[in-house]
Amino acid sequence: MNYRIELENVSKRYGNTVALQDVSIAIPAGQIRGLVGENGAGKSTLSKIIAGDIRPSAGSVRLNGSEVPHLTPAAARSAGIGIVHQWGDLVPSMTVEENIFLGNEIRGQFRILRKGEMRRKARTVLRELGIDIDTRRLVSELSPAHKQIVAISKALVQECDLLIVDEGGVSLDKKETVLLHSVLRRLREQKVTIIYISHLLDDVVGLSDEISVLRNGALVETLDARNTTAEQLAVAVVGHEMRRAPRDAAVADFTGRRTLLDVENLSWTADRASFALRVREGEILGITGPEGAGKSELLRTIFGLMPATRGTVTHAGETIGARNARRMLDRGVAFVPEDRFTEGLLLNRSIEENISLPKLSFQRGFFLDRKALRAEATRKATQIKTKMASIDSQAGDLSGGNQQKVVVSRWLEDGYHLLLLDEPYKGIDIGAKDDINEAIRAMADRGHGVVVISTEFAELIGLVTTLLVIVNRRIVATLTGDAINPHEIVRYYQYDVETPGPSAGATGPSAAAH
Amino acid sequence: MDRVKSLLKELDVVVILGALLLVAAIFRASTFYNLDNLFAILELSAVLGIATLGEALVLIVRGVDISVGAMMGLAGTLSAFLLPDYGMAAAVLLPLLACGLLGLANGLLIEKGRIPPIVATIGMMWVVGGLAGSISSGRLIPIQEQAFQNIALGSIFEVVPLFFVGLLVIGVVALFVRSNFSIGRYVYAVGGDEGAAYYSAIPVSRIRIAVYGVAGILYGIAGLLMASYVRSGMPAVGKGYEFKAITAAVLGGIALTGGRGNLLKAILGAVILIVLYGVVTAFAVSPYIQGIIQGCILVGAVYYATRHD
Amino acid sequence: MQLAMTRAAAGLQRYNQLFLLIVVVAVATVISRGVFLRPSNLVLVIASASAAGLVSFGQALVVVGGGFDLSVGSLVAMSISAIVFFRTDLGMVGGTIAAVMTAVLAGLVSGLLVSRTKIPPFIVTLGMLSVADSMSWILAAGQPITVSEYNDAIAPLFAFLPLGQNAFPILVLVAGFIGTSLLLHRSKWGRYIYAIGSNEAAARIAGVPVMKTKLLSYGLSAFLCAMAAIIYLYQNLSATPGEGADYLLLSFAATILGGVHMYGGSGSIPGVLVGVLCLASITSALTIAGVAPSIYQGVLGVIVLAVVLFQSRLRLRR
Repeated sequence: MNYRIELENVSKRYGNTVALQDVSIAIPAGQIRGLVGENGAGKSTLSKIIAGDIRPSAGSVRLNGSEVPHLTPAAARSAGIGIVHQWGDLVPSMTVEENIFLGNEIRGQFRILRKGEMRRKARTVLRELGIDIDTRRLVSELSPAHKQIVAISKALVQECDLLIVDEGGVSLDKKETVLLHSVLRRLREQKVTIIYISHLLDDVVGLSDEISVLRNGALVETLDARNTTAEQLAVAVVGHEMRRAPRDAAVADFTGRRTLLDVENLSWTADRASFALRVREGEILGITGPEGAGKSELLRTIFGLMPATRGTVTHAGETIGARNARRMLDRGVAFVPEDRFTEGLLLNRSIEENISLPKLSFQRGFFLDRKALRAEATRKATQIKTKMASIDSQAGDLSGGNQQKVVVSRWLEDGYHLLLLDEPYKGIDIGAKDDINEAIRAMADRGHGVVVISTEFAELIGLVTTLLVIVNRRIVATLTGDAINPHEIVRYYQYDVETPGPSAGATGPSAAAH
Repeated sequence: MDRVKSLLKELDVVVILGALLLVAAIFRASTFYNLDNLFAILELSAVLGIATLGEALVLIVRGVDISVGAMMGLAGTLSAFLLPDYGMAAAVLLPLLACGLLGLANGLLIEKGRIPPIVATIGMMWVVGGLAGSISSGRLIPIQEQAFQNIALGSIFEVVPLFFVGLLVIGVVALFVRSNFSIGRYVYAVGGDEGAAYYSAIPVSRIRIAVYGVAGILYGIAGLLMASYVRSGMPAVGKGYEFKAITAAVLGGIALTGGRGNLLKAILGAVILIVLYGVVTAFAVSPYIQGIIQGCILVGAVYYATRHD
Repeated sequence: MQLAMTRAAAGLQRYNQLFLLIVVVAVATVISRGVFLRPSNLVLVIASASAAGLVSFGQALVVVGGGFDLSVGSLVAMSISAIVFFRTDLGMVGGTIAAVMTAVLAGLVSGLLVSRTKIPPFIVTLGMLSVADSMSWILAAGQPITVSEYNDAIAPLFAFLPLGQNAFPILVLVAGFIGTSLLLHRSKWGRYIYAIGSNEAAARIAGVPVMKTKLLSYGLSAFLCAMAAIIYLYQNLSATPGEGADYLLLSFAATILGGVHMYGGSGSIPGVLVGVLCLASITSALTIAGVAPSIYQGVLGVIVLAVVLFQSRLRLRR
């Protein structure tokens, strides 16, 4: 067989962490190859190796059958490899034509730009892809699909015949996805090989010839797209393993318990999508769903970090209008953000200062009671088993798991009776996950409420009492008891808003969590 | 319809300029619209316009430069110092070379030294001020050479000062380079989206450093013109010009967040600022009020620009 | 092991600061052929550092909080003129209070704009610089300023101290040092300032009152500028409008020499005091050695750039 690119036993290690382990993939010329996997499964590492951005720690790369010992970005480019990073390579404030030829302008005598030629060529490339946009328009004014196509055109004018499209389908609506697919298929007819990376599984199934699945840095299997359903693919992506058994359905029965949080008709956009959910005392509500489904936004809107366009948030029986962090904290509602570096930690301050931060407003008088703050911070840090040299160590010096524990431990006291966590397991080791879960469960046992967003089913199963699945900015399922298992959850990942979803076992979007 | 709307939006600075001129015409025609005053306004517009062009370039690559005034002072002082013994050519070229190199030093401190632009260029402002001060020994160096004085006195048809012609030439060159050479696009790409520029194989650091260098030369030219205008070299002659240049650029629609803005409009912003000072002076209110207006315009213009971001 | 490394690094950092002062004092002593180390000169050096020191403490509060205050010099100038302006109607005490209040108001306006809008701090304070500079000319009606009342009234109060004329500036410097130290290192507001400078978004989510804290730091910075204006008039008896712009340079240099990171979230007031004393020593030594003031500015610029470059190298290596 005539392979456009072959990877053999490629591995990539960063210190002790393995990003890619013994991956062997061969892609025939003129094929669309889907590449799927969860966050951190190794998709982007693989694409960066092919584009020459990073060098593998071991293994070899062959292009058109001949081995390339040292693939640099320049070498990859001249070998006809182009990469489209989720329109990250477009400058929004520049025109379509300027972007298509950025870094690759056509120049004439005295290096003067041949603008007419570039405009013509840009128009031709775009027309060949079947779309007609004014090349003088700014990229920032284009729709997501058109941006994606401009990015592809940019790779094409550099005469590439192996195109990596990284998360091409993200934030495209149905019609736009169809458009993008038709463009990519047209390229396949022109014998361009395409590697299509996406976490939108039905998107990949609909487009690809074959699909390779990565999990934890290893290639799990390569499937023939024609004989694969999105559901089968989803199971392959997340795996079957369950760390814990689901909690008993009886646990999810909170009738009669006080309602801590009641969200109704809430939205942060102008369209019709809206959310409703309820958290009662002692309840751990999980939220999961594909990337970009709106999980984070939901939690941030509830906590007041994003303005709501409509809907109400009722806390302990009182509707809270203008929400902000200060106000929610005063009411005993706390929030752990998704990104601990940008929003969670004071990296260059001590652990004690990080943990004490919300306690400061309770300090009376001018002088801090430093002894009390220290004692309490130490108690909290120890409670969640933070491994630290001293409470005075800088937060930035801790490992990822311990950093996350510091952020969570701030709220480990009875003053906070509702904790909202956004992806608390991201990039931390399994021990830290267990410690955080233990803290969450202890909170619930004391009668507090917890909402936790995560895409890691293994963590949610056995922890949460109720699980909401959010797809495309809608709650498509509310699961309890045994229904909280990987197979059941992924069925809803493909739930299309326009068509009726899988029927059995769960309630539809309208009855969300009530 | 959309075209008309966007055209009007593009022309906002022209509208402001027109309004100012109109106000002057209605209330203070005689003091504002006399030849000497208009001549002076055009000359000062040219000085500020050239300095603003430099600052605008820096802002477009997502930087900021506080060393404008100091560089102007150095250029004028060095020129005045060199004139008597080394002649015109040296007195023009060496100061420009010095300013260009110091501008490059700014760029290197920021890109290679990883110092925030404000801190680096403030530091440079003092270093340059110190250099100029040591050349002049803290005094004013008068310029006797007729040829040098004539630059400021010269005009075309006794109406358009040579300064302004210079500004037009520099402006046209800048616009030509912007739209006809790769580098014009790269400068906007670097400020517009650094990551995208990097992925497009554009040498981001080198372009930024070069822009600081070019800006330095432009400040140098502005400083030479100023020296000719005041017929002397003094280190403090450009005091406050960093402020004026940033204000003019922002007024002309150059985004502080980089990557956006029209160079021609930035120059127009400088003209507006100078006309505004002229109008304020014509109304003979306290001359000291200028700074208050200036401060409010700067903060107001940036507020207007950042409102929607 | 890691702990030992961290401790060692921290120790070295602290050591650096003192090391810097020792080097500066040694060099100053050599340059001045020993004149620098005479007690009478040392007292003079510290007294001369008073106004710049007060401004620097304020600047440090703002910079630690992740901002910039480019308006400090002009605020000193405005306060000097405001004292004269209000003296006519309100008398010396009333005029002083009114002038201080004017400065604080200006600081609060800066703080408000910085915290409530998306305008970058350097633009806000650059605008305030221009406005305050204008105000200094308007309030003094463009005339030279003479104020001998402070010296006449205050100097005799401390006549019993051996420091003489220099007692008042030194005492105010010490008071400013203690006040800002306690605020930054012993009160919750200090913790808030560090938190915002370290990570504003994280601070907000953890419930830090960001706006109040910024109002406090910019307001206090302006208040200290007004105090510096009083010291200035006490020492110099006269001024021209707009004078005081140098304090921007001095406060910036002292803050950086004092080990405050330009990126916010770290640094200490004692460190800044060391920076202030270093600067005063350098000035004194250069003056004794007969170096022209115009070059002095350039020397400071080079020192500031060198220190910042060193800081950023350290940061990169981490």
